[in-house]
Amino acid sequence: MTDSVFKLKNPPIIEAVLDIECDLPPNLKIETLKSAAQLELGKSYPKVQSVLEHQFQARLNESPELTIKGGVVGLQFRHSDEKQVVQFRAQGFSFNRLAPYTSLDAYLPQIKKAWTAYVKLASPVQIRIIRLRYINRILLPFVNGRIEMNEHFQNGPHVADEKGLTLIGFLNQYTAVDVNTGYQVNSVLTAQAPEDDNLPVIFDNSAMALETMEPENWTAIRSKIIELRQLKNRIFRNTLTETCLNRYQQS
Amino acid sequence: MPEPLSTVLSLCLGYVVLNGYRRNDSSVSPEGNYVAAGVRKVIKSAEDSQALFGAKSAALSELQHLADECASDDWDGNGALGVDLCAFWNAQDFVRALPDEFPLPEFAAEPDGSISLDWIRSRHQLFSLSVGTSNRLAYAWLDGTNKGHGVDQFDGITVPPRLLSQIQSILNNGKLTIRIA
Repeated sequence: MTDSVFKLKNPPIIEAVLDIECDLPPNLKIETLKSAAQLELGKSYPKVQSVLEHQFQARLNESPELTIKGGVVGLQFRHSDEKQVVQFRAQGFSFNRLAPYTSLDAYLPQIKKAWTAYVKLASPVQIRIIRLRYINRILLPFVNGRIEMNEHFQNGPHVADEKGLTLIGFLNQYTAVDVNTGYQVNSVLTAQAPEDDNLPVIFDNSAMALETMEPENWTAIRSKIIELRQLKNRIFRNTLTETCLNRYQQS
Repeated sequence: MPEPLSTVLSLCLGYVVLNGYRRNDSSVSPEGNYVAAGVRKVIKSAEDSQALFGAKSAALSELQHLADECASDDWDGNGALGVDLCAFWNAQDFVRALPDEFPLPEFAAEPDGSISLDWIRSRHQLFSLSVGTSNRLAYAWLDGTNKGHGVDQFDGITVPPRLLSQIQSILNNGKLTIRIA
């Protein structure tokens, strides 16, 4: 199976994100787009939420304090079932799809529609980065209280002393460049707290093209997204073992 | 012989890349937040190390101190806006992204909520960069009777090489010692 048509029956995808980072007009305030964006997107994404800049301040012997400075750094437009989100951000555009996930092909027309609205309203000057990111949650079953990482991951975590040490947590991250295309990949593997007889491992897999592009050229953007899909599929297939992949091929 | 800038950048990429990853997180799922929190812990751990992050740690502390001092509107008694949190984050990321051993700037709050990063060799040789809420960096420089200004983009990971070379040129009295590969 090639990477372009690679498809699992039950993919462990928790969230798929398409980010298109742009140069926006210097004086654009993203919150001014809210009303017009609601008109464009409101039918499919009726729930609107402003993303505010905020921070927690924690001082010794005092309760943490949430400080809201009032600035809007993004607008989120959510589908009524909360499974799909379009974001107009101060740095660009995002499309988020939460589980259940069908296929990128199924979402591309919706992405195009939302992106077209973004271009119309925010007038981005140029695209700088296109990033396709898939967050997967993989449940690894404990066998006799242990998990052999090598059975599930081709490049999983290892401890320095396999006999004397038992792994209890990890965050493995790497960034690499695809020698053929120049696209970058970013991979993170990290464990969550055990659930019942399983260890959940998050595999955050993204591929990105750092190239300037014309915002109006959807055909070129789409081609780039498809190429990034092939790359992230390759990374996915080469991160998980056949044994692990097969578990997600079953109905 | 000074190292080419590309080599310097490749040496410091590890934590900078992680920071870019944290900065560009647009996920909305709890799992996405979980990964981002894990990455923040790794970055924090690195920044606690004097060996890995010594001078930058001190610079980030200074920046935090400035942001605290000028957080409220009218901090100057002349109606200045409080330091904007996004500007503060952008300034933090800029400092993190500077190549190791690169001279660190002085910080000042600006009346519009931005933060000024200044490299000052003398009254007549200085480079001033304004970090605001967007990824656009406005800068101005003075070198004797020569002066200039411009705008550049910052992606949160890599400081534009031409910006580095201009700062370096001012600090080295017009002599460029870091080669741009």
